[in-house]
Amino acid sequence: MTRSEDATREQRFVTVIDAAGERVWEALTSPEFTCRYWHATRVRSSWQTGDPVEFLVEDGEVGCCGEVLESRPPEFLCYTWSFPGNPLVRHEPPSRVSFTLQTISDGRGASATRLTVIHDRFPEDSRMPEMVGPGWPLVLAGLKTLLETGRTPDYSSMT
Amino acid sequence: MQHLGCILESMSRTEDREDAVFAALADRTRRQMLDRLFAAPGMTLNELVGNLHMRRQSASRHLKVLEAAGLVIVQWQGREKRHFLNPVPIVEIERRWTEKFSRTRAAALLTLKAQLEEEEGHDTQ
Repeated sequence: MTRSEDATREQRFVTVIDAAGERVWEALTSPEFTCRYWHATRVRSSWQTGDPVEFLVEDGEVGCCGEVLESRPPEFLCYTWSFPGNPLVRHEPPSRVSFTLQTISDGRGASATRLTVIHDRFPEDSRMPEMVGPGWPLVLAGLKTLLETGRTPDYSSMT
Repeated sequence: MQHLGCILESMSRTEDREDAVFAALADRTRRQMLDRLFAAPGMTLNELVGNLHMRRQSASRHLKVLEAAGLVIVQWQGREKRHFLNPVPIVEIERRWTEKFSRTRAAALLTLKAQLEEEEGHDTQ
């Protein structure tokens, strides 16, 4: 695989949220937050390197899961990504997701957080990119809406 | 409770970013560029220019607008500057506006229902 083909398989998403990095971090790592914007799943992890990360769906089953690779609150979080809940990708080796939080200032004394999500290291012939590709923008838009307005995305109106 | 000034400032900053997204999308050439980057992520400026049959200088100017609006993400690979579509701002706007209008519609229907029921009440009296 050439370098540019490799790059096209990496998925990268950016959003700017009017909230402090600590709040964004909390929203990414606590179940009370994730159930309100992340496809209604509850995340469970100690966030210690090597420990499991699990996204529990409504009936308590594990939808997505992984292992913490690096956790530096409130700046960088990285874990592996598997999707045992989906038959199409159940047997694929894990890929990798990272979250980079940068504080940006508008020059008027207020600051916001730029959140960059990179999903990469997909195994060869992986079906995961097509699966998570449309999902990440929805998760990030939901996160932004929740932190800025307190509103929870209306999943019923989503296609 | 948050100070009113803080709330207004944070609103205006989000609205500033929305303005930038709408302005960037209000141009046919820039929408075409996003379409091309969606179909072939990671194109360089030269590849985009060849693909769209436009002048390099003009393409470069449009790309800057898209970048500033957060619709295009740039990534350096060695000496090559590669461009990727970032769909998040579009989804954010779609979400914000769709929700807004669906709520308005629901409220209008409720008002209509209340009015009709009230009229019906008068009729039967």
